[in-house]
Amino acid sequence: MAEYGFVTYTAGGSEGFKLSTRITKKVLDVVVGANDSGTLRFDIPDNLHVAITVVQLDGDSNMRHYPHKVTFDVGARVVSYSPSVTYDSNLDRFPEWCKPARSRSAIIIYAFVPG
Amino acid sequence: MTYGFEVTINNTQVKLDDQYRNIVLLGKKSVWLTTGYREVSFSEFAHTNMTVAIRHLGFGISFLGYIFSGGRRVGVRLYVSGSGTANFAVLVPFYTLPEEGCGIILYDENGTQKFHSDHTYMDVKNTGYISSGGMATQQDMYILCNPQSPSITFSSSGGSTTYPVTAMVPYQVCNTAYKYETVCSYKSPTYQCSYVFGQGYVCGFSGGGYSCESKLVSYQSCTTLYRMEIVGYRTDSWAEVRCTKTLGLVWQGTDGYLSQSSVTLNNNQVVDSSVVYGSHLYYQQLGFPPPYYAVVNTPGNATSFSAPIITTRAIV
Repeated sequence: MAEYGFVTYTAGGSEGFKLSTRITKKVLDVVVGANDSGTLRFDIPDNLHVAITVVQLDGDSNMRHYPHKVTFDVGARVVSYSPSVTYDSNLDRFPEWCKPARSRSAIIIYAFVPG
Repeated sequence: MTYGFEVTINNTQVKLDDQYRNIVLLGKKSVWLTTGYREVSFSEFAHTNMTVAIRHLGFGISFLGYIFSGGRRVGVRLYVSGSGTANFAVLVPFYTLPEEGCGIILYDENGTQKFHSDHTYMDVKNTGYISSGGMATQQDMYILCNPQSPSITFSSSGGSTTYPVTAMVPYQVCNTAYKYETVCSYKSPTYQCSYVFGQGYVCGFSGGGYSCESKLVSYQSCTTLYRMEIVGYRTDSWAEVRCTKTLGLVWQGTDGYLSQSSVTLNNNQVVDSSVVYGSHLYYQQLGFPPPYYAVVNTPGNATSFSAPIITTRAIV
């Protein structure tokens, strides 16, 4: 495998930073409210690939929370988000463990060099 | 204006500049985990933009999200299947390190540090989906994105049963019986006159009186008895809703191989029920549409739920 980039060494002589692989950049990290919906625009560094993840920020031991449903258009560089749980009054009298619940979400987009 | 430098890797220009927030390692933590719902605190690393990558060789984890407090991420919620040591890497956007004698430091025009070679930078190793098969990685890979949400499904059912209603009903049984009865009759005395010489006619009553005789007579002998009889029909109806909850898991083999599995936590458990006697109101009684009802929206293509698994370079 060809070597490229550069390497730095620590004072002790061991290898420090090595730019022969890839650096990952966080281009979006936004917290949205549990009942929020909308769109977000993001920018991507040149020629990098992106990966999106949505992580819930609320929860409990019942494990019934859901983050937002997010669709993304890399070409337009837009993500759209909306709550993924629709309220249903039929669920009101059910025990808590089986009631799906909305959660605040962290919408995170990573940009990285394609492998 | 952009400051920095760039390196071409795989025909892609990678900029080490001040435009974007390169992700760096803030700290590490190892925790012994066993099966069940678990919360792992990272309060010592609490951060607004914390990202946690996990390595869990030999067991499965469902990553249920962050513990969010005071606008900062302070821990993670997990469901663990199996047991073992989980290694966590806490990643955050670039932060300033002290100047030291070795390496490279990059500043912007304001003198703010933007790159420091002493940082351990996050490096995406691979991305992919494991839903249609496994994903080969190495033992030293951390999983950055493990999007899992529970599957909560409901099924409703109902029915009715009609059956006879019985009761003790009285009835009579009668027989013809015979018995002797004394029958008495009364005969009135007769008034008669007769001529008696020297006295003329002498009149008076004679004869008559009661006379009885014994006769065999028939009669009805009746007894009241009770017996079980069908007196009508009753329809009882019932309805119930059952819930099943399943968690998706990412299983990381001891060789680092990633595969998908799941665990059913609550299998077809009754969450609501109703019984109505004497009517046909099943289904309507619970207001739950038959015969099957799934609450959770099924994610489509390119939604967060189907995000790819992302592994990162070993962070040592």
